Amino acid sequence: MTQLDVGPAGAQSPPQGDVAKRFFGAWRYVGTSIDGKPRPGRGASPKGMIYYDPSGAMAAQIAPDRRVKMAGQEPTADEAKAALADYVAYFGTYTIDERAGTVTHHRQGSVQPGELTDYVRNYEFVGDRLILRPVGTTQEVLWERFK
Amino acid sequence: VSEQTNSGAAGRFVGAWRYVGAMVDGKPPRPGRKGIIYYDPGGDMVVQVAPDDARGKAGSRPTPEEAQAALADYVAYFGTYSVDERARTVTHHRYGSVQPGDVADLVRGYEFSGDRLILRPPGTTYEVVWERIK
Repeated sequence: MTQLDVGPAGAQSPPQGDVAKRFFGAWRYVGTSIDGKPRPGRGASPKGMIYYDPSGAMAAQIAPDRRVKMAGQEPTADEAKAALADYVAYFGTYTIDERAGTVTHHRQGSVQPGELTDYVRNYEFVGDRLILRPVGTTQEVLWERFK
Repeated sequence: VSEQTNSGAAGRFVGAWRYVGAMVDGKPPRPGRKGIIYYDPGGDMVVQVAPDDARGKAGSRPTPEEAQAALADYVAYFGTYSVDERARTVTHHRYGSVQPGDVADLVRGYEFSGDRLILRPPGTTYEVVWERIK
């Protein structure tokens, strides 16, 4: 069976160094802003977490603050579209470029259909928070370390 | 998170596990799936399992039919967890899931075998095998 390609047998070596260590562990989703304003579409209190494993594996998930009801046992096409809207769920591996100040999420699975491109994010650590900024956007995704 | 779960058997859950596969009646129903589950020492958990077939979309946003195909067999939820050592079960108290419908608790029988964790939905012949990420 195919496995998550991380660790000694994986395609890349585990992240190392002091910056990598700051990523390791779980972070709780605080929010996303665009041009300094809250990103619309996820309701008042969206929840989520991102996890960086020391081995180089990562996983991210953000759920909008709303539940999509389902009439039957399986979602209809319209129910599925509503459930998928603004939901982030992907995982894979990550690499850090300290010089560029970026972390790249090499996605191996994502609930959103389409090509599994890499996500490159500028990172900044502020106190117990991690700010990720998709390169070339005015978007900021804020995470807070689990306590 | 109010309950501290990182003691005893609960402590063995803590960390990240890679999806190895699932078995129904001892046979793998769907090969090639990938996934990861993480149990935080503070009592949070998050899981994702993705089918291995590519799910495309024609435009920038998925159509309802593309969304329906994308959700099929995709597991993505998170929440907290609690361990009942006597019953040998772990319960995932979900507060977010990509699948529409109720976010009911999911109870799983658990077994640790070497560096593997096996989760079994009670009353089924289904088992999901995880391997500790090293």
